[in-house]
Amino acid sequence: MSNGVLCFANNNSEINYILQAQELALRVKRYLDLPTSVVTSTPNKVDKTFFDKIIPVETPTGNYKRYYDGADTHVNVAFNNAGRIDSFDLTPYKQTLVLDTDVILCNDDLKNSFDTNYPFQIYKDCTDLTTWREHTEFDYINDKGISFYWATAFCFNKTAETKIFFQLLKTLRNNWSHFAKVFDLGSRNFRNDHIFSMAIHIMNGFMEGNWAKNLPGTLYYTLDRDLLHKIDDAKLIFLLQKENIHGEYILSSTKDMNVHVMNKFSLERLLNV
Amino acid sequence: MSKGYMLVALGNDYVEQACLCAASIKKTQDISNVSIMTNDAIPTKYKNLFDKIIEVPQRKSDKSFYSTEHRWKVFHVTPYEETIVLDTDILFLTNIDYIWETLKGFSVGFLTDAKTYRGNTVTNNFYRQVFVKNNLPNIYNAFHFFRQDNIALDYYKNLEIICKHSEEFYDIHLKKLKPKVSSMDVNHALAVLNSSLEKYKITPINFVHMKPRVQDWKVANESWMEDLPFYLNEDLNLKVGNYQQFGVFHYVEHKFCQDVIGRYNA
Repeated sequence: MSNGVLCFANNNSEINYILQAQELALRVKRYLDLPTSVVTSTPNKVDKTFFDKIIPVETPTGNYKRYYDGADTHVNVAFNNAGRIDSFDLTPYKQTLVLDTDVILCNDDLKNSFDTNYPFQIYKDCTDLTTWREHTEFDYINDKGISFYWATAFCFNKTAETKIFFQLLKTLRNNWSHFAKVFDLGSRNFRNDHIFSMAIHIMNGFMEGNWAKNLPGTLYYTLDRDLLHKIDDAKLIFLLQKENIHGEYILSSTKDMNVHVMNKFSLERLLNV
Repeated sequence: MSKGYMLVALGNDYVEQACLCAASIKKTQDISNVSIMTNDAIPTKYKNLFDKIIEVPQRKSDKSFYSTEHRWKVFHVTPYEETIVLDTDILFLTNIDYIWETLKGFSVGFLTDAKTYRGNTVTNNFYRQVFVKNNLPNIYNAFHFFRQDNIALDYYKNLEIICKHSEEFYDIHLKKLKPKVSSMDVNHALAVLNSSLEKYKITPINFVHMKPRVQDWKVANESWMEDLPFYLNEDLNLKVGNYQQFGVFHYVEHKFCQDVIGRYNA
């Protein structure tokens, strides 16, 4: 049986996802001892030495999304990351861990996801590095809606069941304006977390359930309003936006913790050094 | 007919709800005996849903908002040896016949586990301040059970006294907060406290409670129907806010009854 990590890297005008993917692949090798394949619309920009396979795709269509770089700066740029819905078709592995390129692996917890026979694993809960922020939008997709799951990281086996799941994701994506209304998301842009949450809810028979098992370990996150200040191997140093004080930060560090860094600009600045 | 459901309906809205409840019981339960205690007319097309249509004994007038001075009488008029008493605004969605086996050890019992439409246990006590402040047992009379035995008879005699003199009982027992009107939930809770019941919590079953402020929402209107769509398909499967509903559904809003009762006519 072949195991591996799959990531998606489609650069936009401001963010170099391929650079992030390279860093991810290095850490995957170090902590999980697994190969990484990258799906990209610009394979010629990829340094082949980092990856097991480079999987070319057409330039995906995406939404425009506001990306913050700390509390005060933001830009609106294209977000071309709906490709993960095609993970089942694209992956070269029998069991695949799909990771966002802005996840910084600092431990081997996710290795355990390959020691199970669960067809599909994902995080339902991730943990904010601050203790003072409340993110109810990460509990349910909206105030009255279904449970939220993080499409940032998921692991699947190629089975008949997961094939249905990924087909369902495609159906939801292809009829997004309809299903956004059904799930009371109004005119909100397509979002991977939401579409995965919908599909899992349907796989659970329109109720809370355990079709999707929890990924092992904890995935922490910081918002794009925070700043990643330093990467020192498995130690990460952040500036986290203070509670109720706009534009001021508190210093915080993590060690041996996997962190989803939503401020892609600050991540890229450190990777470019 | 040793087992069955009793509904108390005082007023036209409640009669309509009782008819819907009875229809849903007939549709989903193998043990589907239902009787009703009412002084109001049952629409002809629904009469056959009920084993017995029983007049409220000695009813001259309703003094209380929830007719609590009459509702205790259900014990004395039920045609069943084992009775589940229901609020009228309850809908049965799937079979719960297994509950009767569980009730073998009970003389009187109440549901205590209310769920949100998302399946979470209700923890918000917005509507239960009287219970919290006075440390009353957190029971729901919307679905409760009694059998015809001496323990239950004693219990219901006690309940009768509480219902008839609720103000005095509230003055004595509810020092910290009193309900604005006589409440059957509170009266039952006081009766439980005054009883010798060894067990009264029916735990193998729960019900979905659609009062809006227990749903763990940031913003809630007065009626859940203003906030959530529902879908009742041809097979009478109900989804509320994209959540499939099962078992006992306490819908609270009469408008819901009006919207769906036509589906049960066929």
